[in-house]
Amino acid sequence: MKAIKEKTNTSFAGKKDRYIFIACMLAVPILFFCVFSLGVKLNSVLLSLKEYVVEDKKGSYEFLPFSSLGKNFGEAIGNLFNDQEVIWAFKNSVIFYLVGLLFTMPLSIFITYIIYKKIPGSKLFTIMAYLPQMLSTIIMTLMFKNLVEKVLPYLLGKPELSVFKDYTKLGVFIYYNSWVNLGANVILYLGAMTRIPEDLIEVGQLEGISLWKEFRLITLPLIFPTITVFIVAGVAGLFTNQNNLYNFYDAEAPKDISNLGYYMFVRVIGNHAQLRDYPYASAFGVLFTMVAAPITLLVKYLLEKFGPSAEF
Amino acid sequence: MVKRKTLTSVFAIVLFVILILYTISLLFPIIWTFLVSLKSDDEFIFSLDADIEVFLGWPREGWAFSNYSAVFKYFKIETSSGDVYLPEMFFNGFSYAIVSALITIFTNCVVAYVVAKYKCVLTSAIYTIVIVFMILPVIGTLPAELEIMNNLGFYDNMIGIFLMKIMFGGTNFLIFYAMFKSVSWSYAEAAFVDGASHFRVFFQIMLPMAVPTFFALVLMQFITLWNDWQASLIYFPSHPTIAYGLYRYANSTGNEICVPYVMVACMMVALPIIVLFLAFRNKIVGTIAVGGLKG
Amino acid sequence: MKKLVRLLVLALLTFTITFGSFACGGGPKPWEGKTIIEFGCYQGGWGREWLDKAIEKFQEMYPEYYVKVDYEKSYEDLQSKIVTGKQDIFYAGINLYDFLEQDEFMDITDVMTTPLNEYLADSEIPITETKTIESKMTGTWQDMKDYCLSYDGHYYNVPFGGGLWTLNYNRDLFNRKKLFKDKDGDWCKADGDLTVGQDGVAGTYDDGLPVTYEDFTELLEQMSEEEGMTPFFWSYVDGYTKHFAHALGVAQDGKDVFNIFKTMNGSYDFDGDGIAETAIDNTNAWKLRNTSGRKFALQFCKDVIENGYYDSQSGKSNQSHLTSQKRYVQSEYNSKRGGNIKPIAFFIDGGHWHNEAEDVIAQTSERSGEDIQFGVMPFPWFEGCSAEKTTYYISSQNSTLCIRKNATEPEGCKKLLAFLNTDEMLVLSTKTSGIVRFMNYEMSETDLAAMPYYYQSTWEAAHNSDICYTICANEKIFRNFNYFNLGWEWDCTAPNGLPLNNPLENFKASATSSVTVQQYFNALYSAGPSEWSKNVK
Repeated sequence: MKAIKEKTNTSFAGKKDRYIFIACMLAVPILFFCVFSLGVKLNSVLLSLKEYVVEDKKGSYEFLPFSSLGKNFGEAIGNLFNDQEVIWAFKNSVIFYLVGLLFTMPLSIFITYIIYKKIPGSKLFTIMAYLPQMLSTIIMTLMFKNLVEKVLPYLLGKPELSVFKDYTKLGVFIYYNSWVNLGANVILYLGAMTRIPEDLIEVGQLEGISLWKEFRLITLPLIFPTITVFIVAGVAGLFTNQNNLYNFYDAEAPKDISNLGYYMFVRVIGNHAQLRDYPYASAFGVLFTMVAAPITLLVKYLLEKFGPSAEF
Repeated sequence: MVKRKTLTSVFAIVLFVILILYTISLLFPIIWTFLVSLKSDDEFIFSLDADIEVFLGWPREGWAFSNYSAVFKYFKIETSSGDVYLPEMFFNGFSYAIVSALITIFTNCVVAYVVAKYKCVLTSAIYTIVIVFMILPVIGTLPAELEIMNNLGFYDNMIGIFLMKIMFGGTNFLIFYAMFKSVSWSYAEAAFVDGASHFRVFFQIMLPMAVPTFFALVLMQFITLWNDWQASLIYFPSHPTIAYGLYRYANSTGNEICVPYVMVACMMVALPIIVLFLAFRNKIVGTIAVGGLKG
Repeated sequence: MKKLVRLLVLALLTFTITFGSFACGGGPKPWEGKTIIEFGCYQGGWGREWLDKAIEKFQEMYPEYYVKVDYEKSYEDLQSKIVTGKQDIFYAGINLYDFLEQDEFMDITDVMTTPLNEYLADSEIPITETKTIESKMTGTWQDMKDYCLSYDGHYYNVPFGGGLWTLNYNRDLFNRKKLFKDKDGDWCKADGDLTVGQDGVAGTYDDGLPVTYEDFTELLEQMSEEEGMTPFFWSYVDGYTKHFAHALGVAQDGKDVFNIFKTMNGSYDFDGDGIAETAIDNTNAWKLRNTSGRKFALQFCKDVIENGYYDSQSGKSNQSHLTSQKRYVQSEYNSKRGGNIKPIAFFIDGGHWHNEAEDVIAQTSERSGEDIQFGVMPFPWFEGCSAEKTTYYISSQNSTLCIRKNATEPEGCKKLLAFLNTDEMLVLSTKTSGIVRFMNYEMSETDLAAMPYYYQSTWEAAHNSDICYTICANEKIFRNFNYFNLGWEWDCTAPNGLPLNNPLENFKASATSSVTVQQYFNALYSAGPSEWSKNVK
């Protein structure tokens, strides 16, 4: 559908009225947008150039001297290569991202497709897919944690295994995240698939193409914009996603399971958070933004250029 | 061709089995949680050592329905203004979610309307900024945000928290934008002929048309915010929502806490959402389907 | 359908509003007509009974005051309240300097240095104690006192108290299974006179208990092979197992070595050959992570894991500190009920655990028909250890009583603070909760006899041994207290690149179970300099 051009309205009401209306409606939202969206982003850059100083018995953030303005960045970059904790965090973030991209996403697309094709019970399955989204992550965590801590050692025949401390912890986290995200993905792709015009499918069916061919030639290209969004958003997720670590461990996650989002989060919130770490955490954020932004644009560009497009 | 067809069906059967297993894996913990919520603490601790059937099975020493009344007494957390019990957390969670949802969705509705229907430099700029911010990630702004909140006195202050919800962008904005774009402007023109003001056109003609979308988005936003336990942790710890309360309670060092009580608390947090979901199932399913529009 | 939906929403709203208003409602206020003192209290292991009782008494002495206590279960939240809350007097665990630099606390030197009977002279019920609080902080507690005065020579806080790290054991089980050693050297008969224990004195809490590691291994074998018991069990909370292993090391090295670390001044013989001593100062004190006592602690942990001397639920996430206490207390009872569990002998937890588990102990005693009792025992000595006396480590050393600088009721707060440190109240807190207050005071025979055996043995342990704690006037230490209190103990990296931070858990986890004691020990050494430069500011 095309929106109708709305040039005509000026001839009915004066230009002035029009601008008054726009101003009245937008003034407050724009003010808050400037402070809490633009302002916050700007402040993040400023904060990364500051340090926490206690003077006259009051703490505040002050700019670093010009000669050492990049101190926080230096520390962040140094840790990125030398601090084992950050290296683990980086590695795990990549693992979580790749599992989401290479396993959860394809699986959920296929699963969605069979639900979409109205297999028996597809109504029930649709509702089920909503379940992990409807329940708070803290509920999911508590249920999962208590159940798995007993059941997994039983299945592995190792009653003394501490699932969340031992070698199982990373695998269990990957499973948990896929488990919870699968439903969300299914909902997303189901939305995309149901928007595919019926007549396109019918044309295909009249030509007698197989389901697989239909999936490959019609469905996939038409839901590809959704997939693109998912992958593009995932790039930022690589740096921001805590993958529910805080739900399970508070601020005390073992260092070898931490990821980048969690690493930054616990410097600001929880038992180990310190005001003097804020600039350092900000520097990390700015640094990652500088890495993530170009990657995101590149990925988006590549997907749009080389991704499949509908042949019909 | 024939070969491919069989391959597809084998593949489909495998997927179907995975789907069934997935459904079971989702339902099972919920049923188990419900059963644990009706076990006595002693029985639960005992079951940790017992055979797996005992651990997963029905309560054997009677149904501890009293757990459900006990949470009203024990499910509490301490804040700087004293102990907060279940009803107050429930109230906090409800008021936070509903007020915030209304504010955010209304802001998006208004801004999207103006941007969609009034072309000028400002509105084009807003549209561009919204799209750019959706694509370009800005990472790690939490410390900066908290610092600004502290300076403005918004931290741990519900009025400040609600004001911060006057924010537009993201999927909600785009949904309203697409919706208003598709609404014919001829209604408005007719109204203008009758001498209606821009405000009147918006509030009496356009807004009523947006009500179904508005309601659906508020509903979704409500569910998201109700479930978001970290918001309270990060921004307003003194006004714990029930989801945050559950987190605190489960990690509490208090003397009146045990796994069955925690499971009852889980049920308490989940109940309103389950009721809402069942009541508005179609609405919710429809909205998320539209939510996929972004991009 | 629409009607139903509306009804549902309406019901939900009504529910919320009703409860919302219910939560805000109130009855008659007990503080009407009185001056309110707002108290912010950490409600951790020591519970609230000691303070509730003390306040009751205080309000009898000063009827014009009403003390309103806000119990807080998180140290962090309480700390933030010191800055932003409405409370005026606090019991919390804090890094004192952080607050003094922000000028948050009131100078209480007058309270500390005035004889208590004079300071509390206007009380309705007279106080006879003529000592000052300051005078009670000598000997063992001198370092606490020096720390208090180190800011500017004034007092801003009263160190509160803590629990000793010991071996917590099920005494009732020991009694029934006769797991004591008699003078003939026989275990599990113990019909004759018991051995005198580590302190060498008969008739004390450690009679018949293991003195050396050799004794102890013998006991463990006896327990697991003959008696069908599980020796050790611990909860999910990492801090406890870390402190436990550290305390084990401190108990071997003894007070003198510990003092080298505290003062970061002295020399230590790492080779144990009596010749090559290394001078320790505040740039290389990290080397003291490698004392021979700590190596033994690693060996101890390794042995526990390798011999399977631990309960299968140890360290699991479903063993919160409370669940684990119940499990420990009920272990024998549940094994008799057919549970897949053996009676557990030792429980690794802080000294406060008994106070937390009081109700469970009473309940389990009643159900099982046994008089369930617990006790503390010294850590056994390995051959060649340098400790000359039984030594205990205290971890909760930064717990403190203090008053906000601009308190609304400064007089009331100070009086309450003074009152909480009268001998009577010190005794009360030990009696009700087993807390060892960081002060010199006496317990009468009747008071001792009225306490559970666990508190009795703790009291005895605290007064016939060397007590070690980290806090002192050394600026390097108290400025980085969080690190020295936990991270310093065991943080390092295994040869395979995985993090090590907790001997028991690390040896138990499959990925690091192959790490040998020597490798762990070497890892501590090689991580020392970088850990130090990163954490010690």
